[in-house]
Amino acid sequence: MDRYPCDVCANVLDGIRAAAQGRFDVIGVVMDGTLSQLGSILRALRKSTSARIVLLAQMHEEPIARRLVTADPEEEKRADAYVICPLRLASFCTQPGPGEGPQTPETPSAGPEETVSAELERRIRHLERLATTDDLTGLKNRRYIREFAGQILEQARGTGGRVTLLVFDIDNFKHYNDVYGHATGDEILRQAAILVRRCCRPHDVVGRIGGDEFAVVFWDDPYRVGGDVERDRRSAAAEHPTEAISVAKRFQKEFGNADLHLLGPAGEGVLTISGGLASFPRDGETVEQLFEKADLALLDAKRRGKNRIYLVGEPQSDIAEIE
Amino acid sequence: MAGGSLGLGPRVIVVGDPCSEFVRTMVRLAREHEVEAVPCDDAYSAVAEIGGLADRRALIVGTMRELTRENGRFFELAATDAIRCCCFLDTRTAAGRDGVLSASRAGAAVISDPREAEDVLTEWLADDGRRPGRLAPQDLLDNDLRATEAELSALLGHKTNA
Repeated sequence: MDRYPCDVCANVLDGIRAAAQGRFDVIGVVMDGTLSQLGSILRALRKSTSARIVLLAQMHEEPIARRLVTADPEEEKRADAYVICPLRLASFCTQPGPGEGPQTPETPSAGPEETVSAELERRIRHLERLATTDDLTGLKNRRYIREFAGQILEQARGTGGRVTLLVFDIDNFKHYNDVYGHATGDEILRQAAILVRRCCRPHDVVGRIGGDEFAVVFWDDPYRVGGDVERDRRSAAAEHPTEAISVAKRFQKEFGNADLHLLGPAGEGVLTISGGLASFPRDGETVEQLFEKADLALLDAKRRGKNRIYLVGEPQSDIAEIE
Repeated sequence: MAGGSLGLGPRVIVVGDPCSEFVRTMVRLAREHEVEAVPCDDAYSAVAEIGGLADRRALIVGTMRELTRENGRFFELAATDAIRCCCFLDTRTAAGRDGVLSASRAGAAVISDPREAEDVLTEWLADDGRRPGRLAPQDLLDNDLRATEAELSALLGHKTNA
């Protein structure tokens, strides 16, 4: 810690001023609580300092943090890196940003202690990835999805936001596995992961939660940079689950048109999915309730012939087909 | 990085929506008086500008909504550098009583018409551009403080206990 003296500013304005006047290597910005001002704060920090800007995010803030550190041709890169709390301050100076080398020129050259620390950090992050990522598809795993959904629901309770859960699986997946082999089955799962990720909005969180079962958490994006947060929230609330439905339908269509050579000449257009959608707060208040409702809708979709996505409707017993 | 201009002349930092009448008026006024105008969208950006001023003279003119962010901390930071502030109180938008009080206690001028800013600007240009920093509540006489609060409450349409 002696190597990395640290100033803490409890007020954002103090932090920007300190950044403008101080000689910092790294500026850490706590995302929690900055909400709609985050875009303005990061812009001001960029103006104030050439130091690396690192976002200190909670798990549910990761999609936004990831977007803010990703360079977009049409959008200024707002921050250089992010870390998910809890964290160690030393990690600021050892963790390279996306596409960067291991250290910035200003960073002191690593001594034995830093080398150990960097190695430790690398291992911790590797373990974090193992704990939260599905190895086969690269999507988030069941544990992450449930934890993330729990945090987002907690936030939505406070802000009046809405959350929609989509649970889907691949129709007749066992058949493909048995007939074409497990390697083909794995490839189908990988293709499904790529397609669903492509169809979703950047902040939606996609995971594989079982064999051929996937989940998507659609949620309001309170950190949308440069937008009117209140208007967006109202809009998102009004559109839920319409937005989720349109994403689900787009994915269903794309998946159905996917050309999978591993399935032979007839591989194009044979794959279908079935799914269920459930929304907070209408269909459930907790993660368990939403998963239960979405699973019920999925089962009903299967019973009624597959290749369809059902939305839990009102009253609860009424399952409406989205077609 | 902030305040990248090489000139050392006085500068007016204008804080608010760059498309608003207030900001456009202030930028025009500053230029008419041959003072560099630096528009800033918000208080955060303005603080970044302040940080890069060094010894340069500056006047901050901004909307009450922006300058009272973070519980009036902006005024305290400006006062640290003895930078004069002028708040535009747009009566069409809500302004918190606490924010107005913090502006007054910091010695900021409060105006309700963009045209009034010219007086503030010429006065600032006429003197050395600096003034004593933030006033502590105890520095105000009780009667002064009560009068100020009563006036502000009346302006904002609040009832007072006085």
